[in-house]
Amino acid sequence: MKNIVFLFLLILLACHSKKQEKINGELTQKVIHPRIYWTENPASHAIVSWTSLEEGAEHKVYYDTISHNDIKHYSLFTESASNGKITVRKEDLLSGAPSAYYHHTELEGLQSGKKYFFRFCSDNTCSPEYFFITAERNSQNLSVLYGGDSRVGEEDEEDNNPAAHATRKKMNKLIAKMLVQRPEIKALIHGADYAMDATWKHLYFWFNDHELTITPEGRVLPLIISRGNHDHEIGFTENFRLGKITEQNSDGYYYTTRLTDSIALITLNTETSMAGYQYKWLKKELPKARAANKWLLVQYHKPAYPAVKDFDREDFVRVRKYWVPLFEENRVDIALESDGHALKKTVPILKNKPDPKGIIYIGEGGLGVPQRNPHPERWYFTNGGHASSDHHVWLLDIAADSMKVKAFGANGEQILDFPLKSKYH
Amino acid sequence: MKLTIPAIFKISLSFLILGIFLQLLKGAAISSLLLMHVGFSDIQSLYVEKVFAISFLVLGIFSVWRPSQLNLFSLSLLILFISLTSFFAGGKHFSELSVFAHFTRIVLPLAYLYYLRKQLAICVWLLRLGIAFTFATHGWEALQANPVFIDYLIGFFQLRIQEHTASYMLIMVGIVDIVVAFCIWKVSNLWAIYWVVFWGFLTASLRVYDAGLENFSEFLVRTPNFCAGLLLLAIVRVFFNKSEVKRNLKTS
Ligand SMILES: [Fe+2]
Ligand SMILES: [Fe+2]
Repeated sequence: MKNIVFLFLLILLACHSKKQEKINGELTQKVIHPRIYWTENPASHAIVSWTSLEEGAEHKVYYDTISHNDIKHYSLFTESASNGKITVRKEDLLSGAPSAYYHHTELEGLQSGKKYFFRFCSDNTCSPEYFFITAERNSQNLSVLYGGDSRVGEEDEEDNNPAAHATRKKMNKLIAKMLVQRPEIKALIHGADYAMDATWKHLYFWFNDHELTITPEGRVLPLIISRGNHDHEIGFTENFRLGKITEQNSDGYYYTTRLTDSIALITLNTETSMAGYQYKWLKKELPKARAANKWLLVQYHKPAYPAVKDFDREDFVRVRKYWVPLFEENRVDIALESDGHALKKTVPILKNKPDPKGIIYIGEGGLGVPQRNPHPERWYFTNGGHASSDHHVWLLDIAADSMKVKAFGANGEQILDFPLKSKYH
Repeated sequence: MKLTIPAIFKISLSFLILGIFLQLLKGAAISSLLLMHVGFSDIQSLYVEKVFAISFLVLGIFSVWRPSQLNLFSLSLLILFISLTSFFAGGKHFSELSVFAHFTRIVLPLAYLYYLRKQLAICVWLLRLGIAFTFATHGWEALQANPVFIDYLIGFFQLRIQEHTASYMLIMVGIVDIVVAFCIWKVSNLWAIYWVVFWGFLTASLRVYDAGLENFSEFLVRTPNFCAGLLLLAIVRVFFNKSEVKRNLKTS
């Protein structure tokens, strides 16, 4: 009997110390890298994602349409749908990136055009309060930012190296500033090539820098992401997880975002088969989207009409061979491209020739990546087009029948400005 | 010109050198690395790459015209260096395997060197090594359903096949490539060499078929993939009977 009591006490002690350990763990746990991903229905759905430095057991997002000081007062919460250990190698740790865990929480049933305050928690550690605004379903107007290529060349990506990511940080601060000045901006469409590659030593710092896009009052700008040729590694699917869009078909990451009831954006993936499932999907999706929307935008990473790289490169040839005829057939209003590292705007192009009825392609990656020298002499830039070496972010101001397209340089100066008429009829 | 073994060496080397030169001229991984990692301006990095391209071409012409140990060895090293730059620049499917995928082009100048030195066993060994690595790497990429390969297949059949059919075909292709990579070590398996010549030529041509004649440099840089097979076949036919080959290989 004595032995049994002793054993019981021993087990109790073991349990207690384990619990203690867990509580201690929770106390030191940190949650970082707040971000919002928009996918198909941003008026009612958003993915809240973050990084925790410890594994934790429970990961939740608390949210409400009014701000709260206390976590207990939020009227809604959702458990994180996807959690896991981020792939971290020795070299990632050596670069200063800590081992960490990803969390992606799908908020469903949101109200359109509403401000949502939220905090995310891993066990007992919660983030400060942030907010984002859902897409407005029945609005004819919309402002969105577009930019791509935020990878940098510096080997040493430590934050204490002032040269590292300097321009990327500058562009992110500019985005936050623009968001304060123009609160009507709803999202940032990212044309991909986020970091040098999608390993943790690069992504960790990308997410750190991405926090600079958050406004002083805590507004997080939702991201509509695509996948680029520097985003092939597993870190991309771990940290830029879009629920079923990530897993669907061969390699996912192509989808239609209903920005409003009359404005749609189709995101395509140049890093998977362009002629396979994606082509079939696009062939069905484009006519549907065109018929239902006043404005139809497309975005993808590798350009059909490159400003920098060789026009005949096989990946670009493939975009022109498989996708562009579908864009033209379905009268896409504008195409957003990245990858080249320059600022560009083509003349309207139809059947590979300048044509006022054609599509304008803008881009081509300037969110911090070192800029290259483009070829303004190419036929699609002369007589109304533009190609220059400038860091930039695009602002698309969409109204009922017309769109104003503007490019802003790293100091916030307006570099380009042109109007666009909808091809809907 | 009669299609002798030195002639095949010279033609394939010339095609390879011209192909690499054209790719460097268009802008390749060297300028990208200089811009992104070293902090050169775009103009500087492209300039360095162009100077490198011209030097490479001069060395290449010299190596074909007046082959010597020094220039053929340097040529191999430079091609290895170029493959390493694609590895470091990344941004392409399986760029981490680029050195292995490029092995036939890396060993070709060396194989020519040992051919000229009449060390045929080493020459044969190098050619087989090149083929084995290149085919095994492509086989691996095919088994992993490299989307670029999928689009070659769908493009070849002009959108008449589905992506899943292309994926199944790639599994077959991958298995065959890997089997060939192993079989190439046995010269008695002549069919494996025939396959290398046929498949190497077909896949190199597919690049031009798929993306247009403007992409013929893509074909040119892949000439070693089938010419290595052609050379192996020619050397085996001209110089060896089977037992001799085996003996030679043992001593190498
Ligand atoms: Fe890119
Ligand atoms: Fe890029």
